[in-house]
Amino acid sequence: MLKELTQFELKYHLKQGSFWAVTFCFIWMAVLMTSQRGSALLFANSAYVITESILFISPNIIFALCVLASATLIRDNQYKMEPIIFTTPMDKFQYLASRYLGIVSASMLIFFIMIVAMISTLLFLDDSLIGPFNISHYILSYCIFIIPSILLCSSVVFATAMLSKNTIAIYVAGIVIYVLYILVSILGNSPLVANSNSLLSDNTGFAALLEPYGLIAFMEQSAFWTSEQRNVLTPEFSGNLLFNRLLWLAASVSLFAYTYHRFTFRAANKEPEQSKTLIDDNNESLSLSHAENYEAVTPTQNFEKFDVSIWFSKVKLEYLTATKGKAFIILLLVTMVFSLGVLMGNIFDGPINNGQPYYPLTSMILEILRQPLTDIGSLVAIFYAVELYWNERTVNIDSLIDVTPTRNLTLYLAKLSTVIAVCFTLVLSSIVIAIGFQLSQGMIEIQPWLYLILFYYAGLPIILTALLVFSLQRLAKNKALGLLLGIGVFMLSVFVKKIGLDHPLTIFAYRPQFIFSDMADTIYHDQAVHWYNLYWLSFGVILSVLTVKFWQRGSSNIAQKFTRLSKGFLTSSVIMFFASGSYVYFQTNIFNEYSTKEQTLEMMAEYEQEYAKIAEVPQPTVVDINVDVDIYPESRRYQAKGRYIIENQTEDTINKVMVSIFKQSHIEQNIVFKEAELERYDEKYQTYFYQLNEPMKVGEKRTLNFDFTVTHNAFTELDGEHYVTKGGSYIELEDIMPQFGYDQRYVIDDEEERVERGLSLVKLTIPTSDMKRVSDDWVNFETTVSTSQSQQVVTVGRLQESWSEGERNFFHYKSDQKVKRQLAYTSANFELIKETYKNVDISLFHSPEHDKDNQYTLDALKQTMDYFTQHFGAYRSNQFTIVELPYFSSAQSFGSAQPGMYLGVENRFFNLDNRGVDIETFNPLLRGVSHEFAHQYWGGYIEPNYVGGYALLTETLCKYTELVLARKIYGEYSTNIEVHLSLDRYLRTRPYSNNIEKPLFSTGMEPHIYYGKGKQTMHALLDLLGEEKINRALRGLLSNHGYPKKPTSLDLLNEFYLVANGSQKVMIDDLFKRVVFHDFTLHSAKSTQLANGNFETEIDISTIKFVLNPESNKEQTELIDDRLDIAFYSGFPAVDNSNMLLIQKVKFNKDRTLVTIQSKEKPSHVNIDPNRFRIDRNLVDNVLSVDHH
Amino acid sequence: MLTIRNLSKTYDNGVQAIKSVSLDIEPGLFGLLGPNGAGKSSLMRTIATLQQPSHGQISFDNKDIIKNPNIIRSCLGYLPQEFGVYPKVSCYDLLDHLALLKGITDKKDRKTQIEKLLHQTNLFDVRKNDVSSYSGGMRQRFGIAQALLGAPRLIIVDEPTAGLDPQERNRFHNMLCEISENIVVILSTHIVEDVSQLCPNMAIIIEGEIKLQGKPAELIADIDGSIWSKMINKDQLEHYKKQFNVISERLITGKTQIIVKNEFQPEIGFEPVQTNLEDVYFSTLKQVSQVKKDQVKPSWALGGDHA
Repeated sequence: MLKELTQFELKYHLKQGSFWAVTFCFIWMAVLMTSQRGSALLFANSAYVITESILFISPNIIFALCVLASATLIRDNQYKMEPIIFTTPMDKFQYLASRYLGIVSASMLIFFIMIVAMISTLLFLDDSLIGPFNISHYILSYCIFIIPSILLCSSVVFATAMLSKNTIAIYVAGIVIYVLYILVSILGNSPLVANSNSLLSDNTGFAALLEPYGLIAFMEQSAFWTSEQRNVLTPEFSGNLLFNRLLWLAASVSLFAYTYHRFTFRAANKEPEQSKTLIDDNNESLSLSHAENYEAVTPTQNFEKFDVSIWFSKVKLEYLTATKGKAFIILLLVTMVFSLGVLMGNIFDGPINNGQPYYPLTSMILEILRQPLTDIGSLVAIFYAVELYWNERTVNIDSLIDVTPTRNLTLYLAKLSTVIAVCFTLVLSSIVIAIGFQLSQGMIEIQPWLYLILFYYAGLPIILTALLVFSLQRLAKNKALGLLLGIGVFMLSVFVKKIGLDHPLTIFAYRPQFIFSDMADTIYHDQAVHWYNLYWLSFGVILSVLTVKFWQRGSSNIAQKFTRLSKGFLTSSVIMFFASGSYVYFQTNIFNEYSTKEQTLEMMAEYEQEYAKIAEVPQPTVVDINVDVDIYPESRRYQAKGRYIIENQTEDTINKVMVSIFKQSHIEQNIVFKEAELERYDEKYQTYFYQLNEPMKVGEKRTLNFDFTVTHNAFTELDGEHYVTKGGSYIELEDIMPQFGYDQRYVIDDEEERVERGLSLVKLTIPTSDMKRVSDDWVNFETTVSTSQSQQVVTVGRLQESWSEGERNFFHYKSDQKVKRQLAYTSANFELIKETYKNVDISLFHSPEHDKDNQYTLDALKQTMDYFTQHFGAYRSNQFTIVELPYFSSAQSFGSAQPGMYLGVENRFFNLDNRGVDIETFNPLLRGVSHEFAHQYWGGYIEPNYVGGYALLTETLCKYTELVLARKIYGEYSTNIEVHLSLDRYLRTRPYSNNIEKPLFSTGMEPHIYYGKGKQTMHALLDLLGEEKINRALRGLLSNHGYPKKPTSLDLLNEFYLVANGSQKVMIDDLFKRVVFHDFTLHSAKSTQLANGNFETEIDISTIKFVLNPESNKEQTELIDDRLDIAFYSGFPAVDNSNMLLIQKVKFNKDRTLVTIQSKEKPSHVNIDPNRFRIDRNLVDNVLSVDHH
Repeated sequence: MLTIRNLSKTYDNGVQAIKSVSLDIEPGLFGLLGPNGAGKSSLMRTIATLQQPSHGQISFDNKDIIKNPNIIRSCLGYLPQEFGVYPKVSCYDLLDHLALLKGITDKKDRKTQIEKLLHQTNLFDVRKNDVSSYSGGMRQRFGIAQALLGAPRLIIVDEPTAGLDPQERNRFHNMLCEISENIVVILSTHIVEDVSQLCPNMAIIIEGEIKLQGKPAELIADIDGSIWSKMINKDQLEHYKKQFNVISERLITGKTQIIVKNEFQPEIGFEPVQTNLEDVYFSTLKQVSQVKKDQVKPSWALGGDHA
């Protein structure tokens, strides 16, 4: 019986148009996803890629089920079949189970078809992207990820449908699941919470457990997989993934059981309350007397005009539909919980792991809430628009409503206003939560008016979505198809981008990045957003006018006649649409240069093909720069007029000079080079080719003049290194000033893109010991810069004088000695703190309101300066400036180091929430300040040769400084957590690299190596050589390889060798010259108490060492010969070793070793290499609780 | 007043519901009689602007209402054969809402008319209850009340008395009669009695075509004298059906009475009958089915002759 019933259900599903439409959507997703996967190292059909694709598609399962359910699950109630169905001999279980199995099997079928589509797509991919085909990969992913997700989503939707018999409730259930997924994903992003490798504690990640699709759990499981492992390893049904799947399976089963328990096999019976009021209506005479009295009332309304009371009466009814039942309350609660969760997750997390939280500024909160609120709001708008559009038809009152003379406009506006009211109520509830959150954090400077921005920035896309969805409903034959079209709108932008239409004029409800600097009091793209909104809103109005015209009345296709008003409306919105569209086009494509990502790459490739051949032609070097700069914050532009002195530092005479000005979105430039003939100008790359009248002899100097004007308006993408806004500007001018020779910035780094374009791979040369380059290419720098009256400019050099003239402030800066060619200008309204410490002038420029961390910064700076003076000698310059940068520079993470100056970004370095920190015990800025001062210090002496391993002499040395300062001030183990996190970052990022990993000494632009692994390596070197010897080596580097010499990483390693003994030298090579991993496992630990009261613990340890073969990219085992720490703890090892009882170095030279250690105290846990001096990717088996006998 | 010319409606699935219907309807009650599925509702829905005809015109006061549906909507009272209501909305509120949609924006006017209609339809005491909880008859009365809101000049009621008890039906008929003095009321029904009691004008629609139209009395007069009846045994029925033009049959105290249409007495034992509208209706129905049979017959009948 059940079988037949289920078959009937399945057939019923298959008969729905919406079923096939949903199937098509998933096929489309699968094809799109699969067709873009695959690389030489990671195959498109590897288990990892299959699982990942499926997991990226998974969050849409809930939408599929909403569509399926709304089309089928409540049909008995909808079509009044209940009395017939419920009186059949079918029992409750058969009824429910068949419905449930029907929807489950229908969904399974959809995803089965999707898998087939994924497999078929492989046929169209390049052979090199596909590995050996293995059907079991697909089956496994289907079983582990799709089936439980389908069961969960089905149970949720099923329970809601059966118990509420209300489509809105089904949608809300869908939104709840979606929000849960988003929320957990956001919270789970932090490795701190999601870490299952028990790096830091023995708690497992809650996010991995709670995320309903198993995405986080799988990502966590596979985070450290190398690309080779990704090709062959399948998801392992264990750990958090197992628990996650079991948890949600159990939830699904319980939900079904609950539904079964609660569901009653009786048609909803609402009569009883009426029965008492039902009265005998036999009083015919009375009725007759009334009947004689029928009087017509002539309607007074002129329907050509809009009447508020009619509209409002409709709104009331629509609103009733929208908020009936508890669905709306649940939606409201979900939004509030979500807002709070997102705020807590983001604000408390701060910009980096284990760092300080954000200061809960309103501008920050707006940025956090805008995107998710837009998404959730749009989703709600879609569901409600669909529901309300079909409202009359669903309750079958359409024939009464449609024949009334009320105009389409009133009916439309009533529905639209209800949807907007519902969405805006959600936005409002989120704002209330945000304000509450700020208050709870002791933030009293709430700026409520700023929150209104949310109604504009999140509200408008929601309104646009509603407009579009309403219009689309007219094209749908029924509600389920209408819902599908609606959900299509939600994914529209993704689709449009995929087919290459990524212009703001083609992306519906286009929204540029929302970035709000509190310091500059500016939303970067604000002015442009108004225009985009005008454009899309007029589009929406055009759609609406047409929707109103063709509003469904009965099944008639007769359009309502245009009234004069609507004609006027239509005409003006069409005009507005074209006018705003033209203006946007003018701004994006004519005034500013527009180029898609593809076009840019093409242009870069062509540059290389054309000019790479002349890259080695000798070119002059700039030795002196004098430039006048005028910044106009209000009109968002600046101009520069300057002079270079150039010198022939090559060993040849120079005949031809190639000089270019780097492309900006809007730039007008001019170069004047006397004594030379302009041979050719390549406009595409703004490159000038000069033939010198007289060849430039070796050592000869000449001058070159240039001027340019650059506008950075709101229509161009924010470039964190070059922008001008009314409240804050930052320009790295050396990028824009003329460059000689072949411009490396046009060279594509991404290796895949290079291969695609037939370019040979660029590799930073591996350093060799015969590279002894010397070059005096630093410059003398002098500048006069002006800005608006309310702002000051800070730039490189010493301020000579400043004055005001007219409405502008002028500043004259000049460098004391030659500086690196890094010449950034910052203009903003600053407050200046000045201090002199041991003959160094310290200046701290910060936004007047961001004054809470001055003391932390200055203290940290002094501590760092003391350390450097003590160990390496005095700071060469007698000036150090710290400047706050607007948040617009957040793309460069913390900030930027310039000669004599550090620029720290608002909300990254400046203005974090340091309240509640006791400066005596912890200075949150020490890490950043010591890092940046180290750049200043090393950078002032050392200019490394730009070959592989370059970053070892810059970033890795700064990481070392961070480590030693923190250890000096907070103790030896205080940096353990940072090392853990750095390693984690390194291990998580390396699988994404398409290259065979290079060891540290020859690494290229790979931050996970020179930062992440670099920090751990210096930490291990500290253990190997000790601080004193390392500092001695660094002193050697300073004195033997300082500017103008250009040292390589090998010069640094040589200095290390000089202070190391034989076995240490081998270890140095392991750390810097090879890629080495270890796998430590504790098999057993048994402890017995000796007669003298001591404890003797015998530990069985295996220690495997792997070395990456740089040719084959395979890890090969090598016999270990190393000294490793074994440590005893009372309790689970704390990461800072606070409960450590004993630590001891033990020599290992076998794969498996029995170690016996005596301790005074009774150990509960034993840990190998607790400080992570070696890299072990699986830490779970490095800790063992000790057995006592 | 209401003129329908050559109106046809074919649905997307190919069913032709209305076939070239032409009617002139003047003020007063107009009965549209026809069996289930004859196309009555399709015609009503088309006049009520809920669907477009495939061909033909409808005009009201000489104005084309297909192109300008709002002309008719502003003076239309429509009671569809079946309809639903918004859940959790009381009878009064829903009437108030519909009155607004019909353009009665004056609050007092609305109140007066609604209360009066509530009394007339005997819903006043339950006006605060949700319409969705009403019984079939109550809901039908609500439907009548909403159709009378405003000042309709064309009222279309589709099977209005279904589900009403005889008293309610009477009351409703009285109201319709009263209202129809100056306005067009189209009553669509399959119950002959409704039409004969009320309608000065009528049409019979079968299979989408108007088979007969006129004043009931004239239509009756047309066939007067050609209707005969006879009481027979049940087992004779087949025989009689073959022999005579039997237009209807019914049971009277266990015996079968057959009604036959013939110009003269068909056989001894037949008695002339006082003709009524039912006979007109049944004879029309019979005619249609006869034509149909004749159309089908030749193909196999011919074959039979040859054999």
